[in-house]
Amino acid sequence: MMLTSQGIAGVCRRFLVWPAYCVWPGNLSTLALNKAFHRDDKSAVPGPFGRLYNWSRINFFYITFAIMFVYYWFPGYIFQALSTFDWIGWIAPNNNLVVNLASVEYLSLGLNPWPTFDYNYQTGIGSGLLTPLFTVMNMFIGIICAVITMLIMWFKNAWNTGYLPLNSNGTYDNTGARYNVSNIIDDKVRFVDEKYQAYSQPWMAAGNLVTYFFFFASYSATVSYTMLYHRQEIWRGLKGSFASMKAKFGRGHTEAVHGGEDVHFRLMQQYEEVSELWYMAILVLAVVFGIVGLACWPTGVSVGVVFYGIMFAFVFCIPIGIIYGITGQQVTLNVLAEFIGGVIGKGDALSLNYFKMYGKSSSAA
Amino acid sequence: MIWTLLATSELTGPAPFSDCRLNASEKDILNAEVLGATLSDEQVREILVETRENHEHDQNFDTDTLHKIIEYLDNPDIQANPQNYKALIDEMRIEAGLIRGNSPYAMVRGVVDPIDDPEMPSSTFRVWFIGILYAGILAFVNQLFSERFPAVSIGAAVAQFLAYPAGKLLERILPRKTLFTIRGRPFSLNPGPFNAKEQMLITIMANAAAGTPYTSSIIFVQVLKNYFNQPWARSYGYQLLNTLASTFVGIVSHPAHSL
Repeated sequence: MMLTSQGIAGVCRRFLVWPAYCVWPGNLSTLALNKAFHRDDKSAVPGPFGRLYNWSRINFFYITFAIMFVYYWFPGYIFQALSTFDWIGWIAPNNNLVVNLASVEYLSLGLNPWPTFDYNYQTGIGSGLLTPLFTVMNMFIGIICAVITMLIMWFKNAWNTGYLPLNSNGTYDNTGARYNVSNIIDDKVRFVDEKYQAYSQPWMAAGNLVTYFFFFASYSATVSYTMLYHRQEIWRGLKGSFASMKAKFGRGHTEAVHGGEDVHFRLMQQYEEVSELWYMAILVLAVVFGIVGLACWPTGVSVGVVFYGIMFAFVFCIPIGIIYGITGQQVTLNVLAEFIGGVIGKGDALSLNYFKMYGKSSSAA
Repeated sequence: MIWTLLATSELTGPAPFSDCRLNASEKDILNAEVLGATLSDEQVREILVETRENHEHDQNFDTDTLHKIIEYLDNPDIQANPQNYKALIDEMRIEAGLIRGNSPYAMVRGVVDPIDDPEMPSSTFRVWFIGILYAGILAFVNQLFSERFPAVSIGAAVAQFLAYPAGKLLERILPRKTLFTIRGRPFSLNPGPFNAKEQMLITIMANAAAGTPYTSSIIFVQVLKNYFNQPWARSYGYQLLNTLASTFVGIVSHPAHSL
């Protein structure tokens, strides 16, 4: 989470902060610790085994903190094989198929019912305690679909994936060695077609190809989900935006046009909102800095990339933000940004990097 | 129709404690009961209609509660013979109080208070001192070790945790004397006990500084000889301008509003 103050945030808070449906599940742990330190009301809550629990929150925190501190010594230092608990791979280390399917290491699929004892590994794709159950289940079904697709591609040798490791994120040349990018560029890091024709086409492993399928599927799914389920809220937010701009030209905010049933929104209403003009000023500053930063040094990158980023944000910031606010999972735009950037940049690697950076960071948290 | 009947018999059957059914703590239920008692039947209905509109397709909203709300709103028999549905009607009155006076989500109710004290000092000297110190430490450590493999990084949660002892220490040692007044508000280095808003502000500052900007990756591949080998990318002006530009265009800020 890198961003501090952002240009388009001023418009977006109407859609992503004020409405009550934006829970932002990832933030709840921060709030819980804060409450444990300062506002520990010790009220009884229903918990497991049908009992009411009235432990103090801070005691619960200290106890789990101490247990976790002691426990981590085992997977972390004393017996590191607990971290990648590759027991199926240990049983049959020389069986190619078993290692490719079930090993937790070595670029394989890791179809292992108990792959780790290390909490850091379990939380690799998001904390199971913070992510809502429906999100976890969605991701799980997605992983199953991806695994089936990968296996079909690998066994059918589609796009020569059968010659490569099953689940590698590397790029390979036509001999199966790692692709050497230096072979196809000139000294200014630009693509040279003759060198490319003489060297090799890049080949990717089944896992990496399926990752790209799912990236593109998630972009169209993000937009269509938002259109199907949240068009009313967005429309109400837009109407509120126009009303507020008309009323005071960005100073303060109008009444709760977006469904004011949320008590936290009403509590915040007694404070003056930061004017939308401040957000606009930061956006202008970003454009100026971006243009100067690219034009005054020999980058060779078009300054249009800054506006490309802003355009990306206007299309995607609300859909991505709504999904992030509800599920705690962020759709990242890096793949779409780099594909479009690669087409526009015509073989210039630095230009591609900037397209990727602006496309990604304009809609990231 | 059969479905409705089944649902009804389930609702009016023997129920455990009301706090267990509505998935809220004892205190929240008591507050909701007090608020719910002041609402008229029309107001309860109005709140629930609005809730249904906002949360019918909401994956985070409790499904059982939503079914009860739909049952309450759609079953014409409840309007005609309210005496048969006393449990459901009472529960919906509490639910309306809960939604109006608190958050509709159990997980939010659990960690966020439905009250706020606007007089609680927030932008204090302690916040800026600890916040800038921690932000600096996190930014330095995380950037320095970002290219190590595996990378070492300190999360904002560590800063949040360590902000508490630091804040308590400053509360102990700083002078309490009022130094001057700005716009009618007294300014002191130490305005009373270290509070939740101060700790949250320190966390927000540390969180903003904890991430490494995307430009750092670009600059590394530009400068390193075995990649792009472009020594001009060492220029501080170039690095600073592009980093600030990419950081400023972004959109989603952390909604600290919910505190």
